[in-house]
Parts: sequence; structure tokens; C-alpha cells
Amino acid sequence: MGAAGLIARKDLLLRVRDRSAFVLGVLAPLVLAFIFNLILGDLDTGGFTPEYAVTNLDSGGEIAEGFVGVIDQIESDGVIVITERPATEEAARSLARQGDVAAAIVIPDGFSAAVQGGEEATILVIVDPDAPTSAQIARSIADGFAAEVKAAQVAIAAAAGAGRLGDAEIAAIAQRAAAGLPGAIAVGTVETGKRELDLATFFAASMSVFFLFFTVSFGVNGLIEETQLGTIRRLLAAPIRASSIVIGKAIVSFVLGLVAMTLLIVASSLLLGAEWGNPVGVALLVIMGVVAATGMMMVVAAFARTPEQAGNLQAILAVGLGMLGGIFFPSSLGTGVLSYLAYISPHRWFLLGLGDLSGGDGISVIVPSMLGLAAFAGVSWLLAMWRFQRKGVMA
Amino acid sequence: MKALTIAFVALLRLIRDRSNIFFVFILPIGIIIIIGSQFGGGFTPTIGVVLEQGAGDLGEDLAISLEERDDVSVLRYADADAVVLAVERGTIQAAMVVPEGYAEAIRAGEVVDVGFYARPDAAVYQTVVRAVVADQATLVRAALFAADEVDVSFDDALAVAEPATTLKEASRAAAAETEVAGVVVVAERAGDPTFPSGLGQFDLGASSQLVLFMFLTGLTGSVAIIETRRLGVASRMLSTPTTAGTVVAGEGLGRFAVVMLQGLYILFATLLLFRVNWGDPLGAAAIMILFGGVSAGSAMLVGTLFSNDQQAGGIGVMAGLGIAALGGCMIPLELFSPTMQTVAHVTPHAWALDAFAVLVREGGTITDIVVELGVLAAYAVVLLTVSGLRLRRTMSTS
Repeated sequence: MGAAGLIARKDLLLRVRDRSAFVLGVLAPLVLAFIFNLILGDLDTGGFTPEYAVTNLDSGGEIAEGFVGVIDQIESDGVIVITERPATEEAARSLARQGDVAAAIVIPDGFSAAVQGGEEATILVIVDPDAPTSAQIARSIADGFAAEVKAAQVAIAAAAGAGRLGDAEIAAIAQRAAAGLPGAIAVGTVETGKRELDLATFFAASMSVFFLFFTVSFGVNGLIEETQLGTIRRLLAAPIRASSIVIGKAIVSFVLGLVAMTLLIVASSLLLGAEWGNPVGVALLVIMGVVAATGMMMVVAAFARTPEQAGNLQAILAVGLGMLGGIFFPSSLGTGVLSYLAYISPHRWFLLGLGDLSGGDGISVIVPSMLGLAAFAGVSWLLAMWRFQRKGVMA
Repeated sequence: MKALTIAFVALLRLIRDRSNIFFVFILPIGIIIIIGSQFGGGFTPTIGVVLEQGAGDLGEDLAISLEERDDVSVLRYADADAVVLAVERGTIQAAMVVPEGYAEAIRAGEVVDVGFYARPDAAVYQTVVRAVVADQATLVRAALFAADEVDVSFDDALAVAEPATTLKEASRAAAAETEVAGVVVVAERAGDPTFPSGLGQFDLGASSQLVLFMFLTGLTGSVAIIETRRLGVASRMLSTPTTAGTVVAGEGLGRFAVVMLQGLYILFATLLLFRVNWGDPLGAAAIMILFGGVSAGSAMLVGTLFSNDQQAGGIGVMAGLGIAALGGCMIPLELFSPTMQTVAHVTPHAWALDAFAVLVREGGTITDIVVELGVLAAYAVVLLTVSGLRLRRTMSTS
């Protein structure tokens, strides 16, 4: 075992005996991921199928039945669910008020007659105020049907307006319009894959990477501790290369980080039902993540004068970048300025890589994330090495 | 008087530690900004739009009418690959792709497919795209029909059909004769929403972060108590004509001063920066003082339970974040399941947030939050008593 190995071994023993590395590196992320899991339960990100009620008070009316048919078609497409068909408007209203349905669509009595008679007809959509998105979708369904009805009416009016025709001709046109307009635009639906972690995995992963930065700092901070205690001078006086000291400390960080991440991956898979994905891809991301985290913490250790100063700056860096990288908010970082700013955080790249991996398209999809993490690793390691050399810790 | 001096030193130590400039003063405001900008306006689904080459004026019209809707926000992308990746990653909820040569194909009377992309669990947004497409199809079909019936060009027919729909308000009056009755969709709201729209963008995040950070800063500051014991400051204080009771009171007051500084800073900063509404000042003050007691008591407890300051720091962060999450500071309590809402009320955080909710959302006063204040007071008394007794014992034994 070389000098670096010996130094690493001593520090690792020290860290195992003092349990703070375990508390911060493994226990804290696991407990927090568990709490998030508990709170959110089976709530999942983004996707949902809204539940509606439909009341047709114009039963037998041709156009009203047509609208119900449209709604039923959307339901059989699996987009919405009609859970209730209350008999009265009042019953529909109370369902929406109690939040039993996101919205109640009510077709009033005399609807078909009004449309056919060229009078203004109304569709009533009663919405649960706490479900604005589902409510808007119910409105969109009604709007879509309204547009369909209007299409026929406008077609007649347009033909009449463009042609300056007499009443008899208009009536003939109206008949042809009622028989069917030419089709023009269809909506072709394509289901895409999903490259996003489920909540259980997201919180396990985000908490792990958040605390990883604290875990690896235990290793590289050994350098400042030795400087302060004066033991570094004795080490430098020993017949070993100065670089062995830095490498030894980096090994400590690296081992602590890898062990903590491995424990977290195993524990969260077993206890929280997290699904980290393709083992090779996860391993690559974890290794690159640990290298990047070690590098960034090492830069701070290289520039700081006291262990306290290093600890504080590292905590600021870890918390600040973690927040920016979206560790508390599942990847829906949205599309604002912050979502672009997030890319200056290694946390973001790590979580993005895991998310892409979960799409199941093989491990090549992690290349951008690996490059992102590698950039952080490369820059920080170079910067730290340069600084150590200037300080004479490295030959 | 001596107790006050000890407390003042605690405050001084907080401010002298320069990393606290970040953790106490910058971070809370940063998080409130993040929460406000992400969730402040409520959830609005984003639909990505791609206009492929030759989508033309009709494609542009389609994109504009989607942008004009207030239930979705629209983000344009350069190509289909980029928009599909964004959908897969969950950055946006769905995408609409207007195909190549769209306008030309429609003018030629062909049936054109507008692409809709969504994950299986977000297929519901196709209804929004369908509604916009249906509006355009109304015009296009009418124009195709009219052009066929009365031998005018498609674009002339379109110009006549356009004012007939309610889409183009400006040109409507000019061609009133082609107006049709149509079907009106009337929306009615059943009751008031849980989060009223009058709630400011930063209001929700401000009270939860106030509670989170008062408690967290208290717990992480508990390291100071351990240092006081470890470095023998406590023994030296006791060697002067100062009773143990005074020293304990001083330490307690010190913790209280620290968490109150944190709380008052967030309160006034959000008030001045974001005009956050904190409700009845008397009620808000009562919540803060009692929750300050809870935080100070918890801080002293952690300070007496551990003798290793690194361990206490780690556990302080974990407990501070964990209890806050459980108490509804990270994800609003309203989103919890009923069981978890009950569990959440084991934490003082949930009670403090409930009290703030009454003040801010319902415009309540201090008399409306008596129950919440009572629970917080009970927490504060128990925590301060237990930790005070423990601190006194650890000091006399060390």
C-alpha cells in the first residue's frame, strides 16, 4: 500500500468511528426521502385523468345526444372519466362544490331546439374552483363541440355572404351543410415516452446527491485540518511525495461518497421502492457525480484558510447549487429563467441523467449529463491542483 | 441583566459568523423567490409549439390562438425533436406540431394532421389543442364549403367566414350580417377556491419559509450551546457570581433572540420586497413569538442532547428540514392525504401554518387563531422547560 493509501486508510477509520459522516451521508438523505414519500404518497407528477359529471336535461334532443356521444368518445379514449350522471342541475352543482368531480357539464332543456332554430344555445360547465386545470379541460371539451356546431352555421352564412344568394338557395345550401362539411384538420395524437423519475426515486436521488456534497467534504477537509494541526508539515517532511497527501485525501472523499451512494441506492430501493434504473448507467452517473462533488469541495478546501471557513463555504455551495438544481422540486423546473440557470448546478445534471435513463432507451442517453458532470469535475480538479501546487502541498 | 448580556453575545456570534449572511439572510429570500416564480401563479400547463417549414399563415394563426388562451402557457420550439424531448423530460406537459406545408395543404382542400405529443398520463391536454384546432377548422371548413358552393376563392370565402365567428372581435361589427348564434359555453364556479386568486405570488411561500427557517436556524445554531459547554465558557460563567438559572435563562434568551432575528428579517424583507400580506399584525406577532419559543426550546434541547458539534450540526439540518417537510413547509398541507394531514399536526409547524392561513387567506384576527396559538404555547412551554432543566444539569455536571 502506497503512502496515499495509508493516509486514506487512517482517515477512513477516523470517519467510521466518528459517526457524523454516516449521519449526514446516509441517514439524513434516507430519512428526508422517506418523509417526502410519506407526504406525497401516490400523488405523481404531471399526469392525471380528470373526473367529470354529465347531465343531459335535453334527452332525446338530436344535438344534445350528439354532444353526449362526443363526451363518451373522449372517455373511451381514456382521456377523461365520467364518474357521475346526475339527473338535475342542482345535483351536478353539489358534486362540483364538494370536489367529487372536477367539473359538471350540464346541457339545458331545449338545447337542440335552440341550435336548430338559429337561437343562441348554452352549455353550462360548473367547475370545482380547486381544480382549475381540469375545469379548463371541461370547458375545452364544450368549446370544441360549440365550434363544431358553429362550423355548420358559419358555413351557411359564409356561402350566403359570399354569393349574395336568395332565400331558396340559402335553404338548399343549409341542407347540404347539415349533411356534412368537408373535413379539414385532424389532431393526430402521439404518445411520447417518459424520461422523468417517479416521485419515490426522485426524492431518493435528489436527497442522495444533495448530501453527497457534504459527505465528500469530510475527506478533502482533512487537508485543512492537518494544516491547522501542523501535522501536514510532518507529513511533508516524511519521505513521501507531497502529491500522495492530496491523493490520499481525495481517495477518502471518493470512497466515502461511493459507499454512501451505494448504501443509499440499495436502501432506497429496498425500503422506499425507488427504481434507479439501468445499473451500468446509474453506476457511471454516480462515479462521475462523486468525482465532480469531490472536485468542487476540494477547490473550497484548497482556497480556505480554516476548517470552519471551508465548512461554511462548502455548505453554501452545496445548498445553493442544490436549490438551484431543483432537489426539492421534481424536475418540473418549468420553463422560466430559473430552469436555464439550473444548468450551472451539478445536481441538475445528475438528476437529468437519471431521468433520461429512466426512459429505458439504453445508457447512451446519459452522455449529455456525463459531459455536464465531467465539466464540473475537470474544472474544479484543475483549479484545486493548481492551488495546491502554489501552496506547496503538491510537488 | 446578565441573562440579557449572555443573549446578546449569542446574537453577536450569529452575525459575526459570515456564512450566516448566506444561510440566514440570502437563502430564505432566494427560496421564496424560487417558490414564488414556480408555483406562485398556480399550476399552468405549458404546451410546446413547433411550426414546421411552410406551416404558413394558418399555422401561425393556430399558434396565436393557443397563445391567447389563459389556461395554458405556450413556448415555441425550433423542431419536433426538441419539443418531444421536453415533453419526455416533463419540462412541458404537451406539444403541438403543425406539419410542413400546412397552409398550402389546407388551401388545396386536403385533410391535414396536426401533431399532438404527450405522455400517456397527460393525454388530457389534447382537449385544449383540439379546441383551438376546432376553432380554426370551423373557419376552414366553412370557407371550403362556401368556395365550393358559390364559386369564390378559398381566401375570399375565409375573409367572409372569419367575422362570422367570435374569434376576431375587431372585424365582427363590420360584417354583422354573417354573424351566427352559435353555442355559448357558460362556466360557473361552485364555491370559493382553497387558494384564492387574491393570494399574492409570494404569500404562500413566505409563511412556510418563515416557519421553516426560524426552526432550522434555531437547530443549526444549537452548535453554539455545545461549543459553550465544550470550551468551558459555561463553567467560567458559573464561577462568577452568576446562578445556573441565570446562565440557562441567558442561553434560552440567546436562542430566542437568534430565531426571532431570523423570523423578523424574513417578515420585513418579504413585506418590503414582495409586499407579502401577513394579515393581522397582532396575530402574526403572536404566532412568531410563540413559534420563536418552540424553536428556541428545540434548539436548546438539541444543544443538550449531543456533545459532538459536527453530529449536532448534521442532525440539526436533518431534523430541521425533515420536521418542516412533515409540517407542510415544503409541500402545502392542502395537498396531503387526510391521514398525513393528521400526522402533520404532530409538528408545531403545521399549527403555525394553519394560523397564518387563517390570518392571510381568511383575513382573520388574533381571536380566530386562539386554538393554534394555544397549541404552540403548549409546545413552547414543554420544550423550554425540558431543555432548560437539561441544560442546567449538563452544566452542573461538566
